[in-house]
Amino acid sequence: MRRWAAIVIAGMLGGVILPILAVLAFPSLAGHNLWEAMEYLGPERMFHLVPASAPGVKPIAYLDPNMAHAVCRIDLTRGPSRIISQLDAVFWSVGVFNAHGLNLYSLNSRTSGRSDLDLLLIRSSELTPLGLNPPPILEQAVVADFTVNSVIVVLRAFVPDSTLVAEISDQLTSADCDAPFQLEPPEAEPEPSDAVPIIAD
Amino acid sequence: MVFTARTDSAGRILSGNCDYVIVGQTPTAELWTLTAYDGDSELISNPASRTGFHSREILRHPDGSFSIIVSGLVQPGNWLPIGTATNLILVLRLYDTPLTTGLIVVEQTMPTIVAGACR
Repeated sequence: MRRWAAIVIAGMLGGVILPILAVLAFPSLAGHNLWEAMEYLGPERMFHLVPASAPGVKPIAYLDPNMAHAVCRIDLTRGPSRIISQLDAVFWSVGVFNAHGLNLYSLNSRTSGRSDLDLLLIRSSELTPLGLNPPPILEQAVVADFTVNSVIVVLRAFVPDSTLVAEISDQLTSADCDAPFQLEPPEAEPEPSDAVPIIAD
Repeated sequence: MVFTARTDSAGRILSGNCDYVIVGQTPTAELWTLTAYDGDSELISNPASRTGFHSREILRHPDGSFSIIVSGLVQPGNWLPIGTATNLILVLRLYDTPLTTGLIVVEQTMPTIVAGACR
């Protein structure tokens, strides 16, 4: 009887519980899919051109062959990231994804309302304290805040025909995802003093 | 927003051995592209080096609608060559479309995929 019970328990464990645990554990075991998949393109905080899709060439499944794509990986624990680009494309968009490929933020050439892109990516915990004394960068740039630490920025631009591939690719790789900025408010001008300066001879 | 077709408008699986006419209008979008893939989701090699059409280059009828002829044989007008692919997947991508807000889905039309001759 005890032997049968052991067989039944082993069967339950192997046949039911372990597969359920394996399925439940899959998302955490899968790791940083998109982040790791994009590592081969190059180092962080730089835009890298994704090779164009063509017959027999599929860098990422179902990338639109009419679009050129550049990718920048950013670890926001190393500080906010300011993204600047100037694209002459008829249509462009920028998407920010988490490490698993979930879209967190997007903006396109029409919704941005301007031809250039100036976007500040910052962790929510760092943005909140800035509200009391906002630095000028918050007035200039579009600000997007995130609760995750690792983000992948995908900048894409429409390529109407193959003669424009080189020009648009150059514009994409000229985009900066580590542009300089200042989060500290500018220092106040020193108050003019009525005191006569002492000039030592 | 991406729409994928693996069957024609009559529900039959798309085949590279058949001709199709994609006819009508797309939902409202700033830009759209239509791309043909084979059954393995690969772009299809063809002498014309064309893997799809987009809204800025397509020839339209006077009413703004369009017809794209999907065929392995040379065709006049908007010809989307499919080489010798056996299976076919058509992907319509809409960029900057009000569909994503979910407000006007009911009024939108999709182009139909009408099967023609098969070889």
